[in-house]
Amino acid sequence: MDFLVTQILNGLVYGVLLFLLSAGLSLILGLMHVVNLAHGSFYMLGAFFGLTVVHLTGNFWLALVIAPVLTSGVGVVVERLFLRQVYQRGYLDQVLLTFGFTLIFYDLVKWIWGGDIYQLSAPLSLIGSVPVWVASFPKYRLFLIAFGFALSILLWLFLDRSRLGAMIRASVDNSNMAAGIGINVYRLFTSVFALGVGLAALGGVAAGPIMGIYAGMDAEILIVGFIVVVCGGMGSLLGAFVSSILIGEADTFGKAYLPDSAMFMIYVVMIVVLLTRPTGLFGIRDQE
Amino acid sequence: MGFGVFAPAVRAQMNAPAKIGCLITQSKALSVLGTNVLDGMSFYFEQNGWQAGGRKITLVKEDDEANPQLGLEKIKKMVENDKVDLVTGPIGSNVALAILAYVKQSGSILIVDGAGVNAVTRKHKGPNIFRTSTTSWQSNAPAGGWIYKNVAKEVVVVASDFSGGHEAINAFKEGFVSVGGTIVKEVYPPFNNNDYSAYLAGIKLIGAPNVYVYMVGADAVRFITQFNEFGLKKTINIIGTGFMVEDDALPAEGDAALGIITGLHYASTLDTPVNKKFVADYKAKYNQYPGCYSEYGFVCARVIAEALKATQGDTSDKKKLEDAVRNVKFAAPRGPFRFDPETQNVIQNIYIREVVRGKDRLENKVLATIPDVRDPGMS
Repeated sequence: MDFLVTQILNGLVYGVLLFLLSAGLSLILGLMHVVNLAHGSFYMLGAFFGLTVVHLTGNFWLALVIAPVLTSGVGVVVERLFLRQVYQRGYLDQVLLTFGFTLIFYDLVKWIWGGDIYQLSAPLSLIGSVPVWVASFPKYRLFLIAFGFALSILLWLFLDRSRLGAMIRASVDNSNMAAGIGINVYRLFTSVFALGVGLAALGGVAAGPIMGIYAGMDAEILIVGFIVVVCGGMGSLLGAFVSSILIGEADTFGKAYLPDSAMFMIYVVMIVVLLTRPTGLFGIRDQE
Repeated sequence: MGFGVFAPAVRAQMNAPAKIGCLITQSKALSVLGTNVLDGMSFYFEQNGWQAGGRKITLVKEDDEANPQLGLEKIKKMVENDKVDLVTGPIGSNVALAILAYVKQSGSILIVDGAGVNAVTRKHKGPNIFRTSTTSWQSNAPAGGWIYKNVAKEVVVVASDFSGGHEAINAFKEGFVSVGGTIVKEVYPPFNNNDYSAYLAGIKLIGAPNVYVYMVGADAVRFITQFNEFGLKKTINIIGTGFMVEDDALPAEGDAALGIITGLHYASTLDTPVNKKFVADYKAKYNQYPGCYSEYGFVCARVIAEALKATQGDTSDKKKLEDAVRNVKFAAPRGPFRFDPETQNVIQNIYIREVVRGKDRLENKVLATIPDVRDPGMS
């Protein structure tokens, strides 16, 4: 029982972190039809900005706010100056461009912060463990679960209830039609990109106390992030959420029961989902 | 005529500083280790005026990022472009295995002052390959026997999933299982892992009261900290390799490390005059206690210095230099130091230690000494 509770919670922690990354990835892919390989880099960049803020101010909460804002700024520059040029030029050019950015950001991070693994310490109030029913669980990880769920609800409210959200949904469904009824699709692209990048950066900071911060953390999470998006369905926030939790749990239980083939569990989930629902769990049927 | 041309060349060589290549890891999980080895080495040379046998000493440092391909590139660069007189390092066993073929083929002298992978001084041994650190066998097998007798009859083994981890566990089994110990289960989380939560839940589920752990660098710190966070420390004892509770890691681990019993060839608490002086001087300079990695660098530097003294600074004759290294023998902080003529690996004491609260820090108290442990080599 103790084992089950701990593992479910562990899976939720990983799931929440995956969601922060894949929510943006999914929206960007669904709305802008851009395969953004640099998304993991923003996750890493956010983590390192957070690290610097914590070093300067000693305040984790401040890092959780400032780092995503800074990273979003970088994201907007990348989108305006570079990505915009390749919207019409197909996936191959996009992949090439964003892959180039992953290399640049990786080297930049190594150049500025070095090759060390940094551990962000959790805020003092969240250090230590608390009993959860029959198990004992670290406070920070519990906070992360609550934080992730709260954020998901906020995001859902935003997309589902706000005017901007309605515009985004309209553009995901059919961007030509959306442009036809007077939505400035390009400006929308920029805001969604900024939002997605900000979420990824938030994930990077939030993951800091658990996963560590280091050059290379981008590639590790990006692969799983793409699996989440594929399983959840492009452009679907609910899909990203459900599939994040699913993948998080699969990975966690896989590591405990089959430590030698833990990574394999994730792929099993992906294969099963794709065989039964080729567009992902909550995927939108192809519009073309 | 021949003499007239030759002499200035030799003199030029003698006047030029002896170049020591340091292939070291300064990135990722092993970065602290690499830094400490370098610190230990610089510390020795600084105490001795950066010279030995009449030659000035310079270090050429390269970061291999614990990446075998990169390590090979870097050692080639040091040997061919920088023309170093000998190479020290690396830390990572994966890097060590990748560079050995090149070391043999180029004939350059390599003194391994980190990597423990057995093959360096077994399958791949050669007249130009030395090791001053330890083999996986030395630091795990003798401890295995002691643990069976004094601590646990059954253990779950947990090790990072890389060549060093697997080899350490095999060595441990050699010492532990051969005298009657039982391995309940083996768990291998990835190397350079961050989050051990899922593995820890699995370990708790097995329910065995003792785990034998082999992890190094940042992995060890995270494992031990999370082991405590998830409440496993209350019911499960950690025993394992001394690397994970050395003085570079102990401050970060804090009380989570208390009570961990490990085997290693060094402990900064060793009560010998040589070690006491080493620890006090090191502490005065770096304001931290030296762990085994700092001692690695220190000892390796001393070996080089002694060899240079024996050749009077001559590094041009590789055979002569190899002989000089082979014969180096002295009292090191870790205890008596000498090479095994058969394998060119170090023969040294292994200490069984326990993490306790000392006067001003957590420290490894020595419980037992297994003297003059020699790697069995190829058998």
